[in-house]
Amino acid sequence: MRKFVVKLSTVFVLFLAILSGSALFWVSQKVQQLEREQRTMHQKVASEEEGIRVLTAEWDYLNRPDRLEALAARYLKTMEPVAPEDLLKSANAVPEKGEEDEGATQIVPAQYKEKKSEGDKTQ
Amino acid sequence: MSRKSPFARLTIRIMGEKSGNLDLVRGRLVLLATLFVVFYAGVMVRLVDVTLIQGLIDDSDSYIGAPQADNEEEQSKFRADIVDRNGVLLATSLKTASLHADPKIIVDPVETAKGLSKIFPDVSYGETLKKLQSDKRFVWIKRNLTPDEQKKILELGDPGLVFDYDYQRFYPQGALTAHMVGYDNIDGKGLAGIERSFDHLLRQSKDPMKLTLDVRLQHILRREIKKAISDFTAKAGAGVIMDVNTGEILAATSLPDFNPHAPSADPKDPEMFNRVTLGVYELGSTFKIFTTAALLEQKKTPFTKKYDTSEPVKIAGYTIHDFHGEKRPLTIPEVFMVSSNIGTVHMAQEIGTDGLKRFYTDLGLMKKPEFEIDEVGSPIIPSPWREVNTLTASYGHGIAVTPLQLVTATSTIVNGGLKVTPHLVKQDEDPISRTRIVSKETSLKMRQLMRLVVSSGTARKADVEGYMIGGKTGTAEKNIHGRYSRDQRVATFVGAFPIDDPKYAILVMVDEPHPNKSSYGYATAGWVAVPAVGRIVSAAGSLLGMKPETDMVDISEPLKQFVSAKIGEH
Repeated sequence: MRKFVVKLSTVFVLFLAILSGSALFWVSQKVQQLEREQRTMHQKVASEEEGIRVLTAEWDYLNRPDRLEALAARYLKTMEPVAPEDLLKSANAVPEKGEEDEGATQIVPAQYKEKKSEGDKTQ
Repeated sequence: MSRKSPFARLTIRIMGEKSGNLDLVRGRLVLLATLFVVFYAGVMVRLVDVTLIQGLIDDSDSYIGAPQADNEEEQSKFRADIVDRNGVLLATSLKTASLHADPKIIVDPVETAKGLSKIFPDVSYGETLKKLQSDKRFVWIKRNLTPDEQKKILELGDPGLVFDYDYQRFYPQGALTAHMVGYDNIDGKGLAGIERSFDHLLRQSKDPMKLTLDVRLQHILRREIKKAISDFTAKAGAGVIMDVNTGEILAATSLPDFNPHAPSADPKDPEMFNRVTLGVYELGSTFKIFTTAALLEQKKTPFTKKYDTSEPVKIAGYTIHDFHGEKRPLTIPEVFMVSSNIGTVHMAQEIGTDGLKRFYTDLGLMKKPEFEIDEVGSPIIPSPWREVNTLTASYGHGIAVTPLQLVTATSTIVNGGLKVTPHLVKQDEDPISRTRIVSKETSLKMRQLMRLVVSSGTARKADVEGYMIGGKTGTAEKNIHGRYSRDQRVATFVGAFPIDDPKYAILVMVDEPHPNKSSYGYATAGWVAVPAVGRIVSAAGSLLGMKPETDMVDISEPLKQFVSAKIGEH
């Protein structure tokens, strides 16, 4: 029988072939896996973006000026729309805390003062 | 050869022949075995791939209700957002689910139909059952579901119910900006307003489109005009707030308006008509602003010059009267203040037909203005233009323009004299014009005259303390089928504030107002449009960041010397 001589280089090449084959397989699997992950992520981002769009639309829908006006009229009874006379030109025109008694009559609306005094009584 | 060394020869021969065959056979066997090994290895690898690797990842993205990958049809129905100048959404595209069914796959049509009619009150049980039991493979159940409805349908759990995802246009502000923003149809095609004129851009772009409107001002304007319409049982109304320097429209409303989610199918319905940009009206005495400006600019006539208003002007079969006749010679400020038609006609005679026509053309009153939406009306100009047309046009009769043109021309007069073009789409740089129409001096004089009208003339009800308003009223009889009607009028106020250095122009127009008790039987602009302007400016002033100036000198003060004390008694 002829001696079957295996050259070292053949073994090495075979080893390399197997190694590169399995590496190729591993890489291609990894790529597919990452691509899937990326697709899922893209989908999640898109669905989040869609969610943000819906929420922004809802926010602006709930902040419609006519709705805010109706709500303010209903719940902020102590406050009323600012008339030009209510605006002061500079911050210096606002009375100091010490002179509250005199200043308050001009700045605080009448209803608010009544409420405040009621609160004082209950205390 | 075999006899010499038969064994060797035989061996050689046999060895030779057999080894050849054997090698061949063995080679084939090895090849076959290798092929099988490779094949089975391939199958093995593929098995691992499919069952372990892909199988594990797969179940993360196959649940029901996940947004489907964008296909081309969905792409084409997406439209870019439209926002106001502060970024508040005016129109947006939202992905909504629509429900259809495949009757072949429906497991239990009776139960499903019951469940569906429970979720949607407007879907009847009988009809749905009929649909679900039909032989078709595709029946629509309901379009554009809310997320809540979608959840309930998923809970029904019938495999024959299928969702379709698509973009639908949504207008968070509702009717507030309907005439300017417009609306689109079920296929995502813009049919009016910005939606129509920028249809192509909105389909392609992803970035929001910014308009010059401010929803807060828009709301104030709409609220007050609505109030004026209901107070005076009027037919319709319109209003504009414009930046006098850039021509940006901060608010524009046309009432009645419509719900852009359910626009009327008939384009002739009154609520579908854009009165700001498409409607043309004879706007009456507000045109005296332009006639007086033309006189001051072209003839440099001093304020002291008097015009005799004692006799009505008769020309070519027409007689021009005054509403409140002073019946004496009036100075220019007096003519403007009491809004004398006769005095203005005399001014027009002094200016001449060519001069007046040229001036109106410069102001953009004679031709269709360029604007960013398609619904723009062409003015109605007398043709041929005779001398009598010059005289009537001087006080706004026989010439019909859109309210947008009126407020634009007024902006040009008061801003220092630079030509203004109206804008609805926000530009990166403020569009300041360099074309001069009237001199700074004329502009100042006109502002003084307009202030005089508010401080002591026909528009006293717009005198808001702190924000100096100036303007001009106009009450015009409507031309119905060629005849002027005494009862059907258009009441207009156009002006600017603060008048000493104008920033904003404002227009309020009320169509066919009727007198009420509080107006003592009057339905003129001074009673109808002017109080609304006062309310709008006092509400909008603080929003616009304007400080009320209470100790300012009234710029109409110097004109008081030209005004006789007798005026204002009626």
